[in-house]
Amino acid sequence: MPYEIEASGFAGPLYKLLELIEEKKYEITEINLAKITGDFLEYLKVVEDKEPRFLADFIVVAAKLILIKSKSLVPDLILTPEEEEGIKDLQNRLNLYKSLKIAEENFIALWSTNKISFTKNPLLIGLNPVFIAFSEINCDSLLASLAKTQSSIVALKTQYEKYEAINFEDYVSELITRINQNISRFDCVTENKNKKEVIILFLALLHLLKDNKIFVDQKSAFSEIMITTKQ
Amino acid sequence: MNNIHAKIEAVLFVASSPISISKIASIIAEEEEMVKDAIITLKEKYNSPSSGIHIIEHENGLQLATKPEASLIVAQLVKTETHENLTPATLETLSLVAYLGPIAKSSLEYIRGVNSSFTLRNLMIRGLIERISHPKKPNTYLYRPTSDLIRHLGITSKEDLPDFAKYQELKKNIENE
Repeated sequence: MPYEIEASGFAGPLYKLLELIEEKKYEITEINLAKITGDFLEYLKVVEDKEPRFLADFIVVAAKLILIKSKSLVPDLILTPEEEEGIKDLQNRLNLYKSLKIAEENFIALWSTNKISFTKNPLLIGLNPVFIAFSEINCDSLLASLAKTQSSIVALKTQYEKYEAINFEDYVSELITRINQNISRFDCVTENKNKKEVIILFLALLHLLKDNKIFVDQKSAFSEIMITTKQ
Repeated sequence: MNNIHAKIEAVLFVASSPISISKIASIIAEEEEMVKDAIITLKEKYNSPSSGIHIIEHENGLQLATKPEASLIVAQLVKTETHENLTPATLETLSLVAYLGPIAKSSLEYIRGVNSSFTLRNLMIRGLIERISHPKKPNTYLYRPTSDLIRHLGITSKEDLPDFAKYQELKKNIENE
């Protein structure tokens, strides 16, 4: 009984796995899990398309399936105890999920008969809402309170305006330009710059390093940072 | 009025929202054990076909409610309560909480294999489940069905769910993980 509930974004990884197994009327065994690995990987595309927020959960299961598949294809493959444990765990979870599916069907049957038991509206015993006028509430105090709120908003606003936005990309491109002009010492780049700019240039340096665009070398702590471009 | 059954019945009728045995005992000035015994007799009394109400018992709270068989009739009077359509994900999570609750989010996600924060929040907003602090780990929450959910299923306690005991056994395996 193949049924697809894609629109609701429901099919979780175990749901999908059980569905693939049951479609083929397989038992939950390692060999059968290896057989449906391809179909499951195929389904990842659908998840990525429709419910990307669940993709991580699917990839965790997919990784285990690929391991099972590799084991079935390469008989000499020796797995670590953790990997073996992971495969067993997936099988156990799938069996657990399968038995709880029956509980779910029981529940849905009860739920959908719509046989609700009704109760009276609870009386709020001894809790009738009352109006208590505090003497300190009057037009003047309300106005004063409002003025106070307004001034604190103004204060907050001026505080924010003090921070000017910087464009990080400008600094990255500045650094690239300087490096291309054969400047290899970081202190040459930071000449005549204020502290804030030095920090940003250093971040830009780290950024380029992360992107694998440059090599850096620093012989010892606090010594000069030498930059070379990667060709 | 001296009959303990009559007193309890009167208290349950007026309270209408779930009320604990200890609260009933203190209101009618009787021993809790006496109240418990009297409630068993009251439940039997309501069990007869001539009664249109029954007692729902959930997490130590007792509540008088109409019998599920009367739902169609009462629904004509109370038009506000109907089932909203739940998505399959919500139904799956709800049934797991009903059968296995109180249950931690981590156990639920272990079973479902998928992040369940959003679904749990959704069910809490609808008043179908509630969360309590874990008695042993104060930094985690446990989720359990509300008495409103029990009422909506037309059962008198969660033990009335089909094969409830069987799934309680299963739960022990999950918690050992």
